[in-house]
Amino acid sequence: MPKLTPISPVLSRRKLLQLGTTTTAATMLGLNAIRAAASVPVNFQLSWLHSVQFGGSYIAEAKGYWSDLGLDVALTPGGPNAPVEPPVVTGSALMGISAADYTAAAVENGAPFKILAVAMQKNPFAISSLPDNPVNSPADLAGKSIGMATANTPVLQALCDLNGVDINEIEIVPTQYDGAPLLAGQVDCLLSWSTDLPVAMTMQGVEPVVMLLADHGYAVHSQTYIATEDAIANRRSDLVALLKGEVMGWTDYVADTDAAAALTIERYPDAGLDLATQELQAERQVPLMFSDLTDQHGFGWFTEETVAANIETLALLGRTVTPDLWDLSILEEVHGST
Amino acid sequence: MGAPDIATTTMPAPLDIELTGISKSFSSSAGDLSVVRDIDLQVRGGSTTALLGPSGCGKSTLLRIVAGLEEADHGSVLLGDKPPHARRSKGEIAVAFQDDALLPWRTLKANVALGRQLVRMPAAPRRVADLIDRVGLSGFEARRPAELSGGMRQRAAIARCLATDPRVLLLDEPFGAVDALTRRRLNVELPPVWGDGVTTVLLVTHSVTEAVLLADKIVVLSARPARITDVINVTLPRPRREDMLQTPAFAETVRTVEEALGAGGGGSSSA
Amino acid sequence: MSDAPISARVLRFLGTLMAVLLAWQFAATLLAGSFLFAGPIEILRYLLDNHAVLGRALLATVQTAALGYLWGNAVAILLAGLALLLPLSERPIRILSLVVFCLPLIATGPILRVLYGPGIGPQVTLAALSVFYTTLVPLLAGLRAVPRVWVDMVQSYGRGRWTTLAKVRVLASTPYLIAGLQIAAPAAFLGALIGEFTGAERGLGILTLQAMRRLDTDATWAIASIAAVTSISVYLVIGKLGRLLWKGAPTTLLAPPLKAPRRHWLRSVAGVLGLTLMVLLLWQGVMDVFGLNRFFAKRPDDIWSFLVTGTEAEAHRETLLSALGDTLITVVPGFFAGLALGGALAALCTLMPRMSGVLLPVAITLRAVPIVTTAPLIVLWLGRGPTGVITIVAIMIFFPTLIACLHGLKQVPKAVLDVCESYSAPRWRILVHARIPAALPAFFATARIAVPAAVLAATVAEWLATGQGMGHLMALAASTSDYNMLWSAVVALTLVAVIAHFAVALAEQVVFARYAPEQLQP
Ligand SMILES: Nc1ncnc2c1ncn2[C@@H]1O[C@H](COP(=O)(O)OP(=O)(O)OP(=O)(O)O)[C@@H](O)[C@H]1O
Ligand SMILES: [Mg+2]
Repeated sequence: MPKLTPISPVLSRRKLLQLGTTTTAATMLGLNAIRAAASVPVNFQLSWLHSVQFGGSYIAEAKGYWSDLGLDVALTPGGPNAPVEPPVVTGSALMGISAADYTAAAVENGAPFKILAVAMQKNPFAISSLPDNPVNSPADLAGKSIGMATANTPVLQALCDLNGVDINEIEIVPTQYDGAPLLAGQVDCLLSWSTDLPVAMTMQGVEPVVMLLADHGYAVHSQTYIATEDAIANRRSDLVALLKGEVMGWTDYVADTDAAAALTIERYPDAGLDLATQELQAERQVPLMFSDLTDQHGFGWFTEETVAANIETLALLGRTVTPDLWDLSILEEVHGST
Repeated sequence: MGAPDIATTTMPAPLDIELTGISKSFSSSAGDLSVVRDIDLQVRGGSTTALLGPSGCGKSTLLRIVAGLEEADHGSVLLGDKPPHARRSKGEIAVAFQDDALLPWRTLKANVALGRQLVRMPAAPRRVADLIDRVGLSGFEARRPAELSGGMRQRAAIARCLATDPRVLLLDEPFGAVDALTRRRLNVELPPVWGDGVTTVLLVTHSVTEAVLLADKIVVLSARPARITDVINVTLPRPRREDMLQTPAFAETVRTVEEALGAGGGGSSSA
Repeated sequence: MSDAPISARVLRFLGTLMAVLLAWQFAATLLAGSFLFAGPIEILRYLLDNHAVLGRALLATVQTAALGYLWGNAVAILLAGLALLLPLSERPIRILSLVVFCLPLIATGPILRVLYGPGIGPQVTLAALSVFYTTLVPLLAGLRAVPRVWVDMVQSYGRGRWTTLAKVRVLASTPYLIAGLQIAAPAAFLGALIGEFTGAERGLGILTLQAMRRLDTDATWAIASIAAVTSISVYLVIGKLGRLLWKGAPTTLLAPPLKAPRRHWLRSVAGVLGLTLMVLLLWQGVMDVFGLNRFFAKRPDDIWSFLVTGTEAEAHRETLLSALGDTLITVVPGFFAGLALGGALAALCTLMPRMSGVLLPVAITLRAVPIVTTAPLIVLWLGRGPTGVITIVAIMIFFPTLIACLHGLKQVPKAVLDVCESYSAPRWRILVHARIPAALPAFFATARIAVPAAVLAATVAEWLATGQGMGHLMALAASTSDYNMLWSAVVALTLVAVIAHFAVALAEQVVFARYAPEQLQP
């Protein structure tokens, strides 16, 4: 039956329940009381290597938003072989950054995750092509060769289904995680994140044509904040504080993306980052993360409607999920107490 | 036997070697091979016994059985009143193998000292140096085996054996690769070094002259499987000297041994 | 007098170097705009501009690699000693080591990260894991490469296995150990580098990922060059140290042949069952002792129900077997190609000693450059079909084979060489009659190592280049949290490796009974 239950009443009911608990009360009582106590060590598992992709978090850390909230946050980088789910499941990370499709898969495989907030309202997947052979709409894909990781075939399939394109008319080349084949002319277009290969191409002096999948019906929340049900029940105040700092950080981020890029470089001089690339990436991810919705409700927000759209797209990806995969209560607390 | 403690520490009593009904055969994928059959042999403590016999007859195998390196299929070995393995760890046995068994990464000196190390005797640098000198290798202490000639390596191996002052010395063709002159000199000079009359020596050799010069008793073995075909006592006086080679008694003994070898069916050569 | 040959050698070396650099720069110019390859000039420029960052990253990676190298080799040495002292433990040790060595990074990475938390723990462990088996196997061969008379000599002084080990075998195995340590140097480095993919803060692996993501070919190849130069230097230094340390000369390894103990088939079956049980218990035990969460740390019974008793077991098996089939098609030819190439090049180097001056650096470079960097190039040349993967597999295993065989071919006693010389035998005849038989133990040791190495190389190539087979399946399973499938893949690959290992062992027994009986000693 949960499928039919509207989200907001559930959340507000939960919120009411939570309001009675002492932990929440402590949060409400004021920050100084908590800061006086020893700060709580918290691991926050990022989904990839350090870069401005997590610029808001760096700001939160640098400006002391978290320490003001009584948290001592360690930002743990991810990597090609560092899936986010295991540390979050075991509790060695309180919260992690994932995406709705990965979270749905993990839940299907027994992980008790909830999505608490959504950093990327629009999915960053994009198809890049060169201007003289552009892919402007999904229909253009027919007869073209596309380079991608074979693991992402369901993504392309979903895009085709959403737009009435026959996937058999597209030649899939397993370029995996390498962007060079597009520039070398081995493929006509390439599936990747819009903040990734297109940024690199621009920096290399080749301005690509970028078609965002999200603009063609592909609705999958990305860079979502996940935590376990256990953490939500037992470490609620820490989660609220963590997410609150995060929201504050990202709110600062959007005000000055160049500063965020500079902070990233300064904070992680060994991460192999380059300032100009980071500035461009920082700028390009803004439209994915901030929208009318976030302007209205605040960073990370989601609604019944966006969740429903996600559920639809996830079904195309072969994932059956219910709205209770999303849990707005923590974010409501965060924004409510701001 | 009365007060063994005092006897063994000050002047250990010589050890008898007693072999009873020793038989041994090897089985391999090529088939079974009977190598030693029904050997009974008593060696008086402190005496020297030479084993003579055709190549491949089983002499080395017999020596290895005496050292406890090879388990006999039948029969027993006693050194004094104990089996070999009870004697080995105190340095009471030393074996000079047919292949010199020097470790290639150790210098000559370290190889000679190895025996004492293995039985945990205190290092005796002077004794080691003296032994190296006695086998005519002084000046080569720091060389490694690969830099020595075959005969030099054999002599080094003997020095290693002697370094532990063993009570039973098992020598497998110890001078096989040494030239005739040096060999003769060593034949005369070494017995006093290993304690002629105190140490029980079992020696394998192909040289009848050497056997007669060194041994109190010569055991002639048949072709494989080795059986004792003859035992000849050598009555020459001790200490043996090089000039004894010219005496008629010596020549007589040599002839007796050679005849025994011929009769035993082994076509062995004599040096 | 002695100056002339040295300066001639230096000149020749410089000449070769110049030629290689020129050819390299030329190739890079041809490939300009492909974003695949950079020439020496671009690399040098990048190195100069970014030396501070690169230096810190190199330091970080070298530090973890060195720690892993020490740990991995220490464990290998201990295990080899244990196997020799307790002959009964040898088989379990060999198999368990093989199983641990087979574990793909993609399965171990997350577990290690959870176990260690943030820090360098996982990188060090992965570096250690990538060297301990390659040291253990040659060491085991070396510890046995002892003529019987040395063992007899120690025994004749009443000492047993311990003393034989300490006084004879340890030193006799030195050349084998050195070969193992040499092979381990680039392996540890690459292990540490790949280990950084499990979420490290810094290091050359991190820089590589970011550079490739930026399409920064100069940076990618600059980092690869640093990795290669570092590996080669360590390799050379260890070789030099080895030559300083090792004072012996190869000896004739006389040992009586053994009649292969013919075991009753029931005993063999019992042995296999016992080993399987041991592996399963260990698996379950490790998971339980560390209290690893069942979500990602699957137990044997999870896999059993996933593959055998569960409702969709048949579909799972089908997916798994079809991927396994795809992988085997490339692993098997790659394995044999790598072994053949390594062996043939070693023979060539022996026949033409001057060749080794050119061949060895190229070989080490091929092994030392991270596969992440070279894979796109190989794919460009050979396409995304099986040929590319086979080539990558062959490249990954030909280097250890080459080194092991080169060292093995030198293990000929001088006396044997003298015999050949006295008949004025031509070099190739000496090779056939004396050197190759002497190299057999080393060859088979390297063939054992090559088994899991080939499997790992194939899965990496599939993950990076073709998106097929087990590499793809595991990557997909990991990204979609399908840890049942991931562990099933691990089990399948391990089984394949164990079976191949036994096949090598069987071939080895037949050959050793004749050529190296001392290796069959219990
Ligand atoms: N470990 C073994 N396995 C199989 N056969 C063996 C083994 N050791 C010795 N033999 C065989 O036993 C026989 C006797 O060998 P042994 O070494 O005792 O001969 P030997 O009398 O010392 O010969 P030589 O005078 O040539 O040294 C030989 O035929 C040999 O082939
Ligand atoms: Mg012999």
